[in-house]
Amino acid sequence: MADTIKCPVCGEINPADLEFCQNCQSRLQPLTGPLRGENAPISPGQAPTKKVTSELEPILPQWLRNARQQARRSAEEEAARAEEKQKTKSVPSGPDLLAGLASQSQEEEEDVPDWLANITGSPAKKKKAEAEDAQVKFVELGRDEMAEPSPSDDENAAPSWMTPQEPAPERDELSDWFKQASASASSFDASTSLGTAPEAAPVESVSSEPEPFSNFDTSNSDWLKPETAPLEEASGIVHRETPDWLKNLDTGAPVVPPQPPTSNEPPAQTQAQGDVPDWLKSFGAETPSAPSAEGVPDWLNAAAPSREEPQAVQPEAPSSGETSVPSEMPDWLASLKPASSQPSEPSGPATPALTPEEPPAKTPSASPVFTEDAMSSADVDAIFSSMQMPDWLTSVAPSAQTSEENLPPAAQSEEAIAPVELPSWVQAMRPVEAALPESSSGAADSELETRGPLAGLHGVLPSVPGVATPSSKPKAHSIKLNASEEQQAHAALLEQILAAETSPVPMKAGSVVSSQRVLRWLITVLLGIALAGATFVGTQIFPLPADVPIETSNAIAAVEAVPPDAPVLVVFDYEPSTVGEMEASGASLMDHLLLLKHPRLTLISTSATGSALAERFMSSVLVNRSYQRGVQYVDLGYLPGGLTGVYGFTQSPSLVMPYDVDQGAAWQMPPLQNVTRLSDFAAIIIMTDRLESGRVWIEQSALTRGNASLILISSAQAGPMFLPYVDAGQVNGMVAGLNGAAGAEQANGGQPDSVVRRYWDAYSLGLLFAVVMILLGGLWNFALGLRDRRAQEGS
Amino acid sequence: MSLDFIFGIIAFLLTLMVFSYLIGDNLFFRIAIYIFVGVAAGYVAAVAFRQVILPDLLTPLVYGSSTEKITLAVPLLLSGFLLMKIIPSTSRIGAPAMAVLAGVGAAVAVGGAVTGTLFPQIGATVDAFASPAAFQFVNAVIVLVGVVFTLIYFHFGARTASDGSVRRFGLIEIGAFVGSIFIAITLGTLFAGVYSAALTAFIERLHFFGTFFGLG
Repeated sequence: MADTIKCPVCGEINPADLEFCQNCQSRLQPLTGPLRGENAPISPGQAPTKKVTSELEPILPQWLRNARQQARRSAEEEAARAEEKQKTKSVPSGPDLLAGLASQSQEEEEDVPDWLANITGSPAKKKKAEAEDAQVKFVELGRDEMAEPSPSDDENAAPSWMTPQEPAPERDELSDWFKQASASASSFDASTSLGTAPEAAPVESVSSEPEPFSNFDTSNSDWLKPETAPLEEASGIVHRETPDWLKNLDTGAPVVPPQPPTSNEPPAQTQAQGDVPDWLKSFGAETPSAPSAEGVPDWLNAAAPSREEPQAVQPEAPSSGETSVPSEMPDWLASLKPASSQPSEPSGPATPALTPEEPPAKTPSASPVFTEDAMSSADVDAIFSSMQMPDWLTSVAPSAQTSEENLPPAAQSEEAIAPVELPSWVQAMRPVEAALPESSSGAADSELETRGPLAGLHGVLPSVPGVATPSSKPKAHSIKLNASEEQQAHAALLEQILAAETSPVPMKAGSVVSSQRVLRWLITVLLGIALAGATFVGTQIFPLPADVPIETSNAIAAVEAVPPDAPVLVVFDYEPSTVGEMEASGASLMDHLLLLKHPRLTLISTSATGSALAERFMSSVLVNRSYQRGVQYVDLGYLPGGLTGVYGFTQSPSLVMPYDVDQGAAWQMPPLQNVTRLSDFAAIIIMTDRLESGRVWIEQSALTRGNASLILISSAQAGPMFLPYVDAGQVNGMVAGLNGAAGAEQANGGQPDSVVRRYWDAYSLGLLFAVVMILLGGLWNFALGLRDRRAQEGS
Repeated sequence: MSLDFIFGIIAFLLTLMVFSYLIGDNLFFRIAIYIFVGVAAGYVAAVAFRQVILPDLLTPLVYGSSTEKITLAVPLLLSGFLLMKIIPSTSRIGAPAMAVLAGVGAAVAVGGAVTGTLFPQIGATVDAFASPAAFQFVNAVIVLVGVVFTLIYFHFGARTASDGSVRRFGLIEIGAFVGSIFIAITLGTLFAGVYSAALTAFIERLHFFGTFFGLG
């Protein structure tokens, strides 16, 4: 063994003891060990050893033996056909019915097997040898096509089981019964061709031949009667119905000279031993020496009731020279029996042709032939054990006597066969190194097919692991669900969930007057009563706040800083919904401005409704100041464009808004005298309820307003978000809501009939009410929380 | 019956219809809303035509100089494009006019926000820390703390703890809690302003009732 091993993948040289390659980690050692001994694979190109296969057949698998048997059967059929042809050929003037057979045999002369050719003296045809090779190949491949008789074979008289399977002499495995049948037929071509026909057909065989076919009914075979009559008359053989193969044998009867059935002369096999095929040799030798046990299959043994019984009926056949007719001879045979026959024979089964009481004269001449070429009894048994018997034979009960007892010692002991000496063709079937043989199961091979077209065959289909043989009755399976209690509980829970999903949930009918709605109505009523009372009564319980917000103070300061009669721009950017708040928020500051400075007002709005609200403000809130449009103030109306419009107005007011609401030249009016830019206004007052509009004015006017003061009058909801601009100084002052207006009212003197003063009590009550409600709601929620907590602690 | 009395009756009924929403959505409330929307839309359309289209577009096109007419051709064309957006198949024609409006509006908004809000507010916050007045400094600190912790509150980054729970970093959690306090105060203030504005409007309506019926 080499010390190194080369990696089959990368070619790296590795030590031989390594399992994996050092370079690529590929496996160096196979997972399975090498095959040794008889299992050693054959290298490609190596010729298999020539082996004697006949002795090794018992160790072959059943399916292989069956296949071989079938191949042999096919060969037998061909041999039978060849015999028929020979017979037909040898008959110069047969009846009309067989005339066609003769002509057909002439046409199919090439199909004569070798062994038959040897018999007739003609040279063997190579074609048959090729056919044999083909058959062997089929056998080796395990195909069973050859086992099936072709339609042409069916037309032949001989059944398939009777036809020789292998014409070659060394492969001749004809059964004894066939040998007997062939020998008993006086018209056998082989006998005639040998020229020793009178001695080749022993009388005993002929006389005993009808027994296996005694069950046949030939009453309908009228055509055969004329043909068989001369033979029957001559030999004393009575046939009522003959199988086809036997008919073919019978057809040769006329060519055989009538032989006296009483002839005890030994056959002339020894004279023609050199030309007689092996199977014929064995026939001659086996018939007398192995009466029933060795060469006769079971079915034929069954035909013979026992070994002892023939002794009582047999001796008369050869001795008397007459056809032995059993006492229980069928009617048809009795009717055909010659008048000279003796019906007084003891009753019993038909006399077998192969009995131990065969004339011993034939034994010496047949023994050497058998010794040389005949197969062992075990092989023959193996052949017939798997052979399908004809129907007429199946009715015969098999004999209890087995042929194994009479096997020769070499055949009886299987140990004598070396298991390593496999046949050559078996060796050829063994795999090469690339593949490993699969071990077949002997038990599976011996299985008998009971159904289907393969019924009666052993081991035809190899068993497949995992596929059980179908039993007579299928296994009964329980249809009950195998689920544990826990699984069933989970399934029930799932069903409940699914049912709950699909089932309608009844709507909870809410009360017409719920507690929350009652509370809402209660709060509304209480707040309405409080505010209405304060408004309608006109109380002034709550004083105005003394502390003015810083932004409001800054707004008042900015207003007071406006020069007298200065142009002031007032932007009305609020919606009608906040009119009440915005007017109240801006009333005090605007009134303070108009009262102190008498400014020239310019009104503008970025809301479509702003112009109307501006007119309302001037005509209602500042009605006491008697400002007239076009004189003390000008209304520019609606400024379209939103952000862009504000930007344009801050950049060029006169260009963007050249006209007032009355389509007059606004910038030519007195309120806008000397005003062309935004910075020309002394103050810009923005009244808005939204952060966006106020921020737009703050941002867009930051760079263009110059020294003009920016004052915001906003709603209470937007006031907190303007505070950063106020704190940053971007807005000079702001009045946010009624609270901021109260500070401005304080600066304006606190007039009792002012809007702020009229709203202030109601406004203060409303704020107080809201504070009380918030406190009560908080206490109520706190109480509920305590109750729930105690309930949880108690539980 | 004077005109003011009729207007007063209509205003009174519409006010009751709006107040009827206290008992839920009803027919009277919807009638008042539909009237308000219709009147407001009609009024806006009238104002737009009377105060914008007629004096700024139609009158110059008819009576203006050629220069004014040529100048007004561009807005007239763009206005026509905008009208094409009414029809879905021709809405793409109004895209250029919309692009002009959106682009100009965005530019004006960004410029105004930067120059009118961002820079002034940053400067004011920085200046507050430099104010010698303690109140201004404290106010600036509160503003800074409020801004920072409010921003921290809206930081939702978190990591998985050892027990599998997802939590924010400890300091972030504390800052978010402080920020939530500032947010609560801000929202409370806004709600108080809304309540104050609504209360004032309600009082104005009650005062109207008192004036209409001679109670106040």
